[in-house]
Amino acid sequence: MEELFGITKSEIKKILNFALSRGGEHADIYFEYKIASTVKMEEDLIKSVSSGISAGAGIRVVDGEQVGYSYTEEINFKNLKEAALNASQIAMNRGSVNIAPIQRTRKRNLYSVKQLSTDESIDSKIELLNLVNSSARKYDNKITKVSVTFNEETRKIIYVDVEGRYFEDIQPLVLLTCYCVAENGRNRQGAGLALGGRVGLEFYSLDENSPSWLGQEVARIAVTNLDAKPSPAGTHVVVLGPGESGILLHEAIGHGLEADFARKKLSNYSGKIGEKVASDKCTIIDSGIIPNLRGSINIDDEGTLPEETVMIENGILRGYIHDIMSARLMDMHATGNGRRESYKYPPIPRMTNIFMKPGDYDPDEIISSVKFGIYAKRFAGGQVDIVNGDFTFGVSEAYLIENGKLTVPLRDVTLIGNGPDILKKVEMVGNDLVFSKGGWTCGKNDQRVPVGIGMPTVKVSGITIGGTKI
Amino acid sequence: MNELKDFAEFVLKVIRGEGVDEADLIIIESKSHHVKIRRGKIEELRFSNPKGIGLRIIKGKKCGVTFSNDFSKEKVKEQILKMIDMLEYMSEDSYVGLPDGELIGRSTREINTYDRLIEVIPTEDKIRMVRELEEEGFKYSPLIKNSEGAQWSDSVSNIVIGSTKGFVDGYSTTNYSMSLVLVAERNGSRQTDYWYTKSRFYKNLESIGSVAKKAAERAIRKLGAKKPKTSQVPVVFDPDVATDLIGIVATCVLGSRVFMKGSFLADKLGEVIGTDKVQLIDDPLLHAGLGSRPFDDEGVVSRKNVIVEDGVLRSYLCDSYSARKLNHPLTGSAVRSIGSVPSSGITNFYLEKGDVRKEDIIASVENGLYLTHVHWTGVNYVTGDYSRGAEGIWIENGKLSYPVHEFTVSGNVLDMLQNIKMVGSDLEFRDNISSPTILVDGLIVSGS
Repeated sequence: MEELFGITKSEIKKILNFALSRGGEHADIYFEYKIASTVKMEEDLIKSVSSGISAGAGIRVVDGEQVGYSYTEEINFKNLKEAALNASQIAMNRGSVNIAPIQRTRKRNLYSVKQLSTDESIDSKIELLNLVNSSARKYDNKITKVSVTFNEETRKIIYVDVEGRYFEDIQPLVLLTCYCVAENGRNRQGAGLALGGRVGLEFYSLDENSPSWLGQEVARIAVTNLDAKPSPAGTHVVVLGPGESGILLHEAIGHGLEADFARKKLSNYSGKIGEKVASDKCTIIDSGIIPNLRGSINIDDEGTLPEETVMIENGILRGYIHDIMSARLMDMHATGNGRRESYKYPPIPRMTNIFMKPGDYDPDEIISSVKFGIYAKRFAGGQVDIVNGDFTFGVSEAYLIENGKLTVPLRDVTLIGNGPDILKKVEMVGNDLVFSKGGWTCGKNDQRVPVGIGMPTVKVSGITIGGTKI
Repeated sequence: MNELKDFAEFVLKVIRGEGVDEADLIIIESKSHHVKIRRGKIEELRFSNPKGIGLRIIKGKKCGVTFSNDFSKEKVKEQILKMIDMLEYMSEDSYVGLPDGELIGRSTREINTYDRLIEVIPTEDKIRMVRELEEEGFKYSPLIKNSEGAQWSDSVSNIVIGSTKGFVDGYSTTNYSMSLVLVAERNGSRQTDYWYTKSRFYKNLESIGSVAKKAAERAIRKLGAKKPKTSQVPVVFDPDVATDLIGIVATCVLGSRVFMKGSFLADKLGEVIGTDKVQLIDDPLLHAGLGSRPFDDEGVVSRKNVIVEDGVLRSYLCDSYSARKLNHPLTGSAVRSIGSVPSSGITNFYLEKGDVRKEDIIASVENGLYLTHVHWTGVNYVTGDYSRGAEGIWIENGKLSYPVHEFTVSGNVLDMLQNIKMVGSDLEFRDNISSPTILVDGLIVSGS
């Protein structure tokens, strides 16, 4: 700590004292040092490289339901003291808290890597870009533009709070993204996909994560969509493909089970623990402890060990996900979901990796059970209105299902519906749970954090499809 | 500001000393306050003061960016040297370079971007204002049962641009915003909506009473929403949703998107893309505009750009790289964050107002949709295909009739621009993209 941020433990204790000088129940300091870089290849050229450092320390004071937060990027005693006094303004002289002896807090070990990507030479990253680019171009001469980007970051974090919790963590995060444009004289279509996690570069040497697979897959989607037909509008049976369709869980149910929304009675799942909220085929879990996934964390951003939280079990709502503040206010236990974007923000309850437990059906059996419907394979993103559960998803690769078989590709399918409704309409759950390795990022209260999603093949009896064909 | 300019001069001197041909930089320093009140209590009080420098180094047509929020001279020097080494691995790209020296400079036009009042408003006043905002919202109607909170944000920023073309200059901006999110409830139907006001000047903010009333009205008018039937109808875009549509066009005229063919407007310069009612403008010199600035992020002097004139696409928005690449005039449209190379962006982008009153537009529709909200997914920028989750109010016999939700509105943006039948007279500059109410014919509403 002294090497990286030039501050001693005894100085930190003094700063926490300033933070609590007007009262408050809890105060903490979060130091962060982030190295990040991006290398971009476009039109066969390594066009630009960007590399830099951002560092800062944020101080939080919690008093009941209130949070005061302030940060500084020039870390020294004077600035930290000023930040602490700013954050303390939230509290109103309600007694004082003793600062416990600082003790190292236990953490998990979920992202062991051979070497941090940010410590590897730039050559190895350029090689990845070249491989993605050439495999996309080789796939089909209809591919006219290819852009490939490699993003990496390493965060070094130190946390100390008044309860004496103290931890350090080093969090890697890498992402290789490919975007292609295909043209055939009549139409033009684009497609994009990303591949990464809390991993080192060795991740890309596995066959299923190979740069050439990524290039080919993106080119395949762009070329397929050239011949895609307008989607039929109206309510239809939808089969969700494995992996990326987990975005549906994230939006349709995950956000509604974040305890801050539930506590403020802003969620349509508020006060429904023990009630049936989904089809009994649905068991939905948030797990921060799956090695190397984008949403996994050794310890959350306020010192709680992440765990596996069963949110819905066979259709029954079992629990919410908490940070320490919501756990205290709702008299529940903290689930290790207190997360923040950076030192610029206080932690709030956030998902880690959300997934649905696999069922018994073979995926082929699910598709062949559909007479007429839509197979939604790859997703572009989604959003939800927490209060009433209404959601939308953009589907970037989809097919018509006719008489149990995938037939024509469909373009620009949008799914719209209501979270609780859709979960009640889940009819079949496949045995093929897949976790997406894409660059899923969740936005809440202006804060963006990396998350993971997982899903087996799932059949839903009816979702409204937006399309141009009536 | 002078301190930042001196630092810029120092960094440019270091760069020149290392034998680099060309370089430019951006320094952003800001200070902001954020207050959130929920159910009368302060929920969050946040103070921030980020500061960062981003530096683009060009050596032999190779380009790299290095950034830092550590302003110690040794650290910055160290990063410059590291980046110069890394440039060895880059490819030569003949389009790389700074803009022409004669285009660099400051607009002489007076544009107000700074409000001195920001220096004196005490935190207690901000807390009092948002508390009052939320109270007014609850008072508006007993149907308002809950609140997601009322928020206040303000910030002051100093921006300095410097380049080896002999340019170092800066400007300051202020920003205020106030917003309220309310939940309305009736007979088991729960709906939420919001309203906000945003301005460079405190005196131009919408009143507390007006923001509260609009947030409440908007939540209440959604109660009891039904799913509409699938059909093809004329759609009236409320200014907020029209702004979203104009925003898609804005994204698709950005030079950096056009040369990568990531835009449905690529290869369409000089063509008719909309009805003659469509006039689109990007104006960085708009008085007190939220996107106004005297020069762009490469130091190119700001100028007003007419993008679409009487439905004809006249110009893209270009930074120096995309201008060279597309052989297009430079428009002073460079934007950059400290960690990225400059690319093209908008300043104040708007659809020029027409002469029809909003009420008359609604009255002209026999059976159709008044669109009040669209979700963010569902736009394909390459093809212009548009399929958005949406909310609105059904129009029957020229009158707003009942709320609708859980449906999508679909079409193609190019077709939509060519089907804009009416443009309202109600243009307000509420943000850096603005549009009046518009009527678009023949969209597909997909519901039950």
